[in-house]
Amino acid sequence: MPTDEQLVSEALRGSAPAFERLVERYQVRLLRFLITRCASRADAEDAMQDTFVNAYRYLGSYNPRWQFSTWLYRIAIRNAARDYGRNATADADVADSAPDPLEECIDAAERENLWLTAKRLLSDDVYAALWMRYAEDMPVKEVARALGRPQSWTRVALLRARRRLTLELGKDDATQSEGKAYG
Amino acid sequence: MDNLEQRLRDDAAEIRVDVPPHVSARLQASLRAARTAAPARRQFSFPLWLAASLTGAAASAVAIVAVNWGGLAGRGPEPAEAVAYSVPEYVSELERQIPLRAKTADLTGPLEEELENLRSDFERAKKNVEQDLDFTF
Repeated sequence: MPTDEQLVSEALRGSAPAFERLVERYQVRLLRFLITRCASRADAEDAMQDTFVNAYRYLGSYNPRWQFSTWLYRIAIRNAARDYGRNATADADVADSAPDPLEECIDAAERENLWLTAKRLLSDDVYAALWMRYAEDMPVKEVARALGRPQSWTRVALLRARRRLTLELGKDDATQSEGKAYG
Repeated sequence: MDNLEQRLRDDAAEIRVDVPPHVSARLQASLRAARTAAPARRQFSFPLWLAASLTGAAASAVAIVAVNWGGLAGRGPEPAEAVAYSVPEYVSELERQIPLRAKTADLTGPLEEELENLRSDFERAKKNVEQDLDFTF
């Protein structure tokens, strides 16, 4: 199976199927990430489309020193921020009543999905750092690069996010234990 | 991997997302459009760059020739004329406008006073000498 970098090289030489393979490889992962960052599913789909089109247009500027996924996520984060900023003021009233697109993608369960908790508690960048580190298994260095932040900031953000979530989980567990205790 | 990491990974896997066919089709269409635009950009980018460079070089050459043309043809102004040309016309207006009123009275007043004293001393000495002479002769 060709690596991302090999596919990028082929795409740069004019191979359309090579870039299509990259799209196939990343579209679901990218949409899943963007759904956690955008106000609606439609916005996430638009942001995903813009991300791939921008990546294709500026493929020549991709630096193979970094993983292709890092570069792609960096573009996606920018697109999501831009779309969110554009739609935030226009759709402020609609967004209040519209359901969270992330909630729509999660089956109902006994306990709240931890990513919903994280979205509620953490800022956008910290949430994105957590997502890339644990849902995408990206190294801290690549996460920092994708966010355009120093590695030190990323490490501290991840540490604080973990602490916050652990505290929240402790509270939930305590509440559940109390609930069970009182029947 | 600790408990929290495992839960984050498990819960991420619980988020089920699929790309609907209409979104895929739209994405493919956008990429096709970008592909058709890209070669056109490449075709025009090099000649435009070349044309811009050549135009710049030609303009520089023309400017250099125009500046040095007078010197080459030997029809340049004489040095004195050149200096005269280099003095802007409005300098005379500036001279008129600048108030160059030196306070001569303040500056020469003590000297004049001293001169006056010397004259009176001289007159007095002259009278004394004349009186002495009268007395003598």
